[in-house]
Amino acid sequence: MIQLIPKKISPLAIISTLIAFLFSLPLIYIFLRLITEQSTLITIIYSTEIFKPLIRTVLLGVTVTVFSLLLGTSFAWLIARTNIAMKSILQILIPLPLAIPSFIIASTYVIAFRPSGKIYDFLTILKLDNIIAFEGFIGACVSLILITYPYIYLPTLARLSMLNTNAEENAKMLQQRDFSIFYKITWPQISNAAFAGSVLTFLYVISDFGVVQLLGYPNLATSIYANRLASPTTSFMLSFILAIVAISIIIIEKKYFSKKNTFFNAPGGLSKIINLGKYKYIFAMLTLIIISFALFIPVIILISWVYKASLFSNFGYTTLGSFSLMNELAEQYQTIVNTFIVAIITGLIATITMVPVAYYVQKNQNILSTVINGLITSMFAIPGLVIALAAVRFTLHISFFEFLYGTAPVLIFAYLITFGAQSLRSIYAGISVLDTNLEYLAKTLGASSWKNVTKIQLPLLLNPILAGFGLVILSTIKELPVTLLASPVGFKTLATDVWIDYDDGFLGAAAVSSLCLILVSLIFNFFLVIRTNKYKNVSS
Amino acid sequence: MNIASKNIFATKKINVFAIGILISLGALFSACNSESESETSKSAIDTVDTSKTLVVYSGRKEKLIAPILIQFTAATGIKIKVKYGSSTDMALLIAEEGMKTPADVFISQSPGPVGYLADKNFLAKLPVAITSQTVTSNSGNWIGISARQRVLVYNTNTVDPKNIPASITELSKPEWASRIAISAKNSSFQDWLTLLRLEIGDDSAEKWLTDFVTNGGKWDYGNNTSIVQAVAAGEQEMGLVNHYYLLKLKAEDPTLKAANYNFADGDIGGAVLLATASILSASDNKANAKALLEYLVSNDGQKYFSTATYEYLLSDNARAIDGKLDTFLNKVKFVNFDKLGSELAETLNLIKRAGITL
Repeated sequence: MIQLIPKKISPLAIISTLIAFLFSLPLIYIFLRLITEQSTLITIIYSTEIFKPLIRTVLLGVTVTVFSLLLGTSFAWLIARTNIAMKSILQILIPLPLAIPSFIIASTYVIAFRPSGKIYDFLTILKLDNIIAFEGFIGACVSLILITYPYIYLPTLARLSMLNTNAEENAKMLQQRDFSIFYKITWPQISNAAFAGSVLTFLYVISDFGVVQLLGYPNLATSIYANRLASPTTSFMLSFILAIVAISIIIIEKKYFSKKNTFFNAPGGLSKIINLGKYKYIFAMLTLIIISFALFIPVIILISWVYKASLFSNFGYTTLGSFSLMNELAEQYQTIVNTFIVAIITGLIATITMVPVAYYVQKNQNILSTVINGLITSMFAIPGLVIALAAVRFTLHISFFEFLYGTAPVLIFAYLITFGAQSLRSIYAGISVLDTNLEYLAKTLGASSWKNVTKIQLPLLLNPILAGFGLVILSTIKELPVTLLASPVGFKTLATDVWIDYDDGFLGAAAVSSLCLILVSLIFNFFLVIRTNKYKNVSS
Repeated sequence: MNIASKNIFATKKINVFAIGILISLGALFSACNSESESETSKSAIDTVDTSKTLVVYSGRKEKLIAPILIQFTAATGIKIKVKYGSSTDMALLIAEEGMKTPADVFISQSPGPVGYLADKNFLAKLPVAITSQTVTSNSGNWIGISARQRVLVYNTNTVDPKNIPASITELSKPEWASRIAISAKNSSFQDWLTLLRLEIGDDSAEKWLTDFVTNGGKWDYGNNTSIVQAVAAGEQEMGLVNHYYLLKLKAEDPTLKAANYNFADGDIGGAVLLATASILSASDNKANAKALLEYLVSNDGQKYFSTATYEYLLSDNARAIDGKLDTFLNKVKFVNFDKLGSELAETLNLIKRAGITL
């Protein structure tokens, strides 16, 4: 039974509560708007269609999460446990789609998969053109699966690489088949990590606007967007419903999917690699094909936009000046610097605030920790518009903070609220697999609890902390709605550049910004996420 | 296109960690006084002050407006800082900022978001000296700076323009609707639909859209650009869009197999939508703001819009320069633009009743 009220209030509980309070501001803002605009829940529910978009949102979220889970864990298992061909290349490529903003993948797909598009021709040859319609539900699913599976792949791989294979070996000796070994022995040990990533995937999908808008899948996110001027209360109500969906999924995960650590053995020998035989090439090819949809196809299409715009550079734009790759790149400099600085500061603050929270939430199973965890995680699903407007309300209209308005800290604060969940989840997962025996051992040897934390636990947590830091940075770089509204006047990031140019049909310029954005993301992705999660046990 | 210094960290060096703590403490102790005391807006000083930077919130995208703002700064010495975003989001932001908004001028792609702000009394009444030069609202709180026309873009390989009906009202019939794409979520389309309602009545407008949907019209395109691309690629035969998207895409790729079809003179299908400029009533920089509005409708300003953004001009002077556009504008109806803001909610309901999920 979880205890209702913590027996004594520790400083950690107070700090965690204060931080969680910040994450409740968007919800408080929604309530304030709903109260001041004098609408009741009942009238909104009667006056607008809620259930259809809600069902579509949940359907998309569940479908994408299931397939991402399959893809993410399969990739992790292939890399960690098999002799798949080209392993070192695949290890770098598999997590990269994380760096691609969803609206870029969607806008390139809209063009690549239309009749007369290059890929459509290919599908016609394969007689698949009637089966694969890359729009609506299917299109949204495919794009989102390709972007989100790294959320599951990364923690699962990290977990797999910490386990040894003694139990698997024993099972093998008892002539169990590979699949049943995976299902009965490996899976229970990695399921916590996989499900933790699944929650992030689900929240990402239900809040994503770019893909569903561009590929034509109306759901809660598009409803929130469509109603925001004509009927703001409807938008706020729908945002609140999105938050409820998010909190429900967090509770479901915690209750049904999150198990106590199941270790079959103490740390020991190195893991054995399964020999795939001739299948090692087939699996490598399949993996490459999937990655190419997420990475190579969008990049090739973007390059073709740049190429087309350069070809016809002297046509038309008399006053605007002609399209020039060098000019576009030169203009990107300050934008890239902005993007870098803001993303790194956001990542740092998210890490600093989330380490104590993750520690508190993991070590204390009570109502308070559940609420804190739910609040912070659910903010990942709240539309950026709401978070940005809340940031405006709580700085500009509280005289104590007014001096901050229009400065970068407000933007960073809004980012923190949106993406704190990613840092929290990573660190939380890291703490949950720390061996409690280790803590006990250190205590018996007379280490103080402070020393225990700083000298023994924190160093072991370095990888999950860095992974969380990297995830927050990557998300910040891709972020759009919060940046457009909460940033200082005149402040631009690569993502806002892409959107502004694409929306008005300046494809060449949009493509240059997109490619820069992908490049910047790749650099961060490589140094923070991939490197720290790299499976170190390749040869054995 | 660097309009003003973008180095945000140079202006206020603040220890971010201290701020985190401040925010948490302050948020606990301060009540959320949501509707703050508004400063009584200072009466505008009528002389331009070049030391005061003008803050513009622009729903018009950077590529389309930044060059003329740079021209303005060169001509007057008044520096400008711009925030770009969709017109709707900028209007929502201004409404949230209220009388504390840092914005002096709001440039909007369409009158819808402007109407939203006008209803909440966030817009200043403009001097007749400015409004008399161009199209304005009854209340005189915005001016039109450029215009775009609704057209039917068609694929030149598959559609013969001679067969296209003269009026858009015919296009909801089965033989046409099934070959046409619209973007129901696009604000230009929604503004146009409001004009259609005001022109032919709510019931007829709803019947038109319902027929269009049931007769196989495709409505779920994400934006104008993707419709024009689909038409040029032959995926769709025709699409209802603003006129300049094709002109811009053709500038990047002249081989596109698409052309714009104009409906008969005076037909609602060819309605003109306006980009507008307004001054915020909270602005303490009104003299500079007025200077910008005047510049936008001046000959220099108007020339920019016609040559660079392929739009139609609105100022009386500019229309005199280019006789071709003048004759075009005289034929087009200007229907009740003031209503576009307040009518948007009803237009969205109509779209939903027609079977479209937004």
